[in-house]
Amino acid sequence: MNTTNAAAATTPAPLLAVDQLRVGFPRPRGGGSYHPVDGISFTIDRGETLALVGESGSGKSLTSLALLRLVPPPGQVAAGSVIKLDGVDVMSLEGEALRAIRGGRIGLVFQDPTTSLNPVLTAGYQVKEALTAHAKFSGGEAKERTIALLDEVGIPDPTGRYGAYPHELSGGLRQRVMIAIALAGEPDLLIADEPTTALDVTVQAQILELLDRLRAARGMAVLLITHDLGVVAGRADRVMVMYAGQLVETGPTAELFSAPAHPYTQALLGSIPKLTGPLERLAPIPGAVPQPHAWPTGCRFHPRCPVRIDACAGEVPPWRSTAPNHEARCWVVEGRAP
Amino acid sequence: MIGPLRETLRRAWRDRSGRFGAIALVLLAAAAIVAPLWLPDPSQMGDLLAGATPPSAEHLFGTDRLNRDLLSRVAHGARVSLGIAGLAVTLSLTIGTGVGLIAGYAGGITDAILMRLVDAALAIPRLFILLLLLVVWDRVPIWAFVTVIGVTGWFGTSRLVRGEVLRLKHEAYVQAATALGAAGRRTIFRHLLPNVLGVILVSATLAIGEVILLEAGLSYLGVGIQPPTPSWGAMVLEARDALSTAPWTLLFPGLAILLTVLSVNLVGDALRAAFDPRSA
Amino acid sequence: MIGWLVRRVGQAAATFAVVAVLLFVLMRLAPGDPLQRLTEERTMAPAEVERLRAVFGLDQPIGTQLGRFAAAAVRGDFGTSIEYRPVQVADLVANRLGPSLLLGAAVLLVNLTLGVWLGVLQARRRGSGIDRWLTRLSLAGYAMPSFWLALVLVSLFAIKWRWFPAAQMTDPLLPDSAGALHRALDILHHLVLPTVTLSVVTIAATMRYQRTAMLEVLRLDFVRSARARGLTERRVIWGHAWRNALFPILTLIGLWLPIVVSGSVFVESVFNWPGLGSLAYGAIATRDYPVLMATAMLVSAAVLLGGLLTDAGQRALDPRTRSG
Repeated sequence: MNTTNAAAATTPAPLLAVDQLRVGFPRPRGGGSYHPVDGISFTIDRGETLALVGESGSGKSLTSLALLRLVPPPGQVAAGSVIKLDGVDVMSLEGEALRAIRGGRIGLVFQDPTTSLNPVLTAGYQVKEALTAHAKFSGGEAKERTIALLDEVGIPDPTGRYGAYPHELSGGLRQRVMIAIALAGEPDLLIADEPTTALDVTVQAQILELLDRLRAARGMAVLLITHDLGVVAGRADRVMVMYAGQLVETGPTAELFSAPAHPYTQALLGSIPKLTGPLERLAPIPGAVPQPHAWPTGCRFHPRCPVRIDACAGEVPPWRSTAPNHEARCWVVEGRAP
Repeated sequence: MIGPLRETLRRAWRDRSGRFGAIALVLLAAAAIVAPLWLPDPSQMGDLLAGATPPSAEHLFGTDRLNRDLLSRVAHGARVSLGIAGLAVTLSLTIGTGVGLIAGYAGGITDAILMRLVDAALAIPRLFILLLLLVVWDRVPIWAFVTVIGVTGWFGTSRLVRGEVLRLKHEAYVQAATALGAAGRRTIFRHLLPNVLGVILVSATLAIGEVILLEAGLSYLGVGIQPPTPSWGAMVLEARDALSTAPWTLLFPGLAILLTVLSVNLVGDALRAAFDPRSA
Repeated sequence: MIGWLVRRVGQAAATFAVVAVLLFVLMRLAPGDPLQRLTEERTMAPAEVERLRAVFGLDQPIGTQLGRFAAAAVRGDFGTSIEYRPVQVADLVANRLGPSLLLGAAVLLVNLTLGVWLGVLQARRRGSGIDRWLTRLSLAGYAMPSFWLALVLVSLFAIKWRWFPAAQMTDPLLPDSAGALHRALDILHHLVLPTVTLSVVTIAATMRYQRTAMLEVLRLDFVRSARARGLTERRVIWGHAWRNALFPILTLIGLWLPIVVSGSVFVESVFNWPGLGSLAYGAIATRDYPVLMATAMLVSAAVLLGGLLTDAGQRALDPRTRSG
């Protein structure tokens, strides 16, 4: 599956190119392994915002960890996975080179700022530490830059807050500190894993706007990982929908929202409460997300799919394109092979 | 009560080190019981002129300076050490469990007073308490020795048991039982005790190791087991004057202590891990 | 913080009072008149016996006895040593404190460096061969009687190979003209074997505590987060994870204080190390009751002080409890 086939000759090479990424965990009993991330391929261009949408259990967080080679043991990125950052294969890097990527080329903002910040170190110290890990600064200069960074992420009274401990800050401020840490190494790609899930609704919008602003100001690409389609609208250039370890649909945001091709995407959109229009029943998707060690055969969504046909249970559906750059992996979708 | 306990024991058995310790202990105990039937009398002195002789076919561990068979002495010493440890620990556990149950269940002033006493007692190193008590005798009789050790070793257990009781007091089923009017003592025995058993078991195994070391140490200092009763600690004391001439007299008694305490600790460790897997 | 500290010190003082009472009771529990039995083998001037009796107030009703004892103890007056009369017990103890502190500090140092490092290593390589063997070895050390290990080390390193001295803290043959450095090195030379002995026996606890604490911390999210920032593994382990796994070590320091002060009766006796441990050991042989009492009280005070320092240290170092 590729998105830029026809235009490859004229558009610049993507910043990140992932091909058939699989993350495996050994089965607890009996041999072999299972793959919560099972063959993901996508690209991210410089400066674009790509959203990765899926329910919990779809494997989206593991995907982001895999990009930085941070998959917790005993899991590991399976052989054959290709992760190319500006043409360099991340899988082949070790030691210093790998560290340079973490935070230096790719920044990661974790989901829960409360548990992701070291409780016994001050906010300022942690940001400064991230700064000096990627570039040499003198003591005084490092502190200045840290304060500037805290200011950039919208923390009021950055000088005062420099010496604050994480537990002394509100959830929103903590998340801003996490973002500052992720930006400290001047990364080209910022991965935000559920950046607003742990926050109040009022603060969520602020954080999302902040990410937008920062992206524009720094020319970064952003990989926005979320289960909430509402977060995606108006903020992402493209959307990828993930289910049970695989991508099921990708496309430009507006296109995907107005004409979702995959039944799963349709169901997701159908379960968003709408503020305008006639009152409709919220339609939760029946059934539950399958477990990674027991994926259904064929199309993994078929047990819960309202429009399934016989072929769905038997064979893995191919990618079909319904519009330029808009593809879905489904037997029922009408479209042509991309 | 038996069911979950057996499950925990099974889990403990899976631990390789624990298994080693358990098997070693069984062998040691067996040797201690059986050996005196086959081995020469430990106080039987041979050719005094020969003094201490190195290990040989006739004397597997050699002989000490009074030409007594060392293997026999070590085996008999095992009886003494294990026997004393068993008795003393039983005494400690009984007192400790009793006090812990009372303090935890009764609460209030009783609890406060008891725990203050326990805190103070825990602040004094056990060795000193023992020394202060034992120093008064010229030759400590064994019954006194065991009692003194037992009576000075219950503080930690009482704290642990009390902790468990406090935790369990808030569990629903205990409150339910009390609400239903179950008499105090009955509550203790049928509901609290089985759960407390786990804590006691781990406590016991670790206590045995501690007592063996204490007893050896006190015997080494001369205020423990008195001759002619064989005691590992006393044997080490005797070996002190013959470090270069008869090193085996130092080696074997010490190794015996080491092996026994290690085995007990390994078993205790495996039990502890089985009761609370997170600490492994 | 100050308020808490005051309360905590009060608690420790109250417990110490109970300790004194307990020790007093212990003494009175011993069958017979302790002084009579202990002094009948020696010639002591009746005045001396009366003096000791007065300190312990043995001719008074129990209540008064306790009062007198407490009053004398608070003054630091434990009377005259039976063995070393007319030397005061307090003076004896004061002289022996230094060497015990030195030995204790050395053992503490080994535990805090080697013990901590090994514990962290075990946590990082949890379940591996290194982890399992380190546990087994340290447990073996823990199971060793310290006096036996001391003798083994002496027979090997002092007698057979003559690498280290077998006894005492200093070389009695050292000329008076020897310089400070020479003296210091001499003491260090004598310090090695006793320190190794006590360290082997105690390092297991340190390693276990540190391993457990580190395992708990390594599971936490912020460790992964620290790696994601591109920090070196060394920084992640020591600068982030270990900073949070520090607390049990503080507990150990608190537990250490009594060992620092008493210096292990056994080890000091084998090496003839002139500290409190060997003082107590000598007092056993000579049934010098006042010395034993004084040492017991001192060590108990050290235990309580250690616990106090640990609690205070924990509060000071964990920012959450400070402002919370």
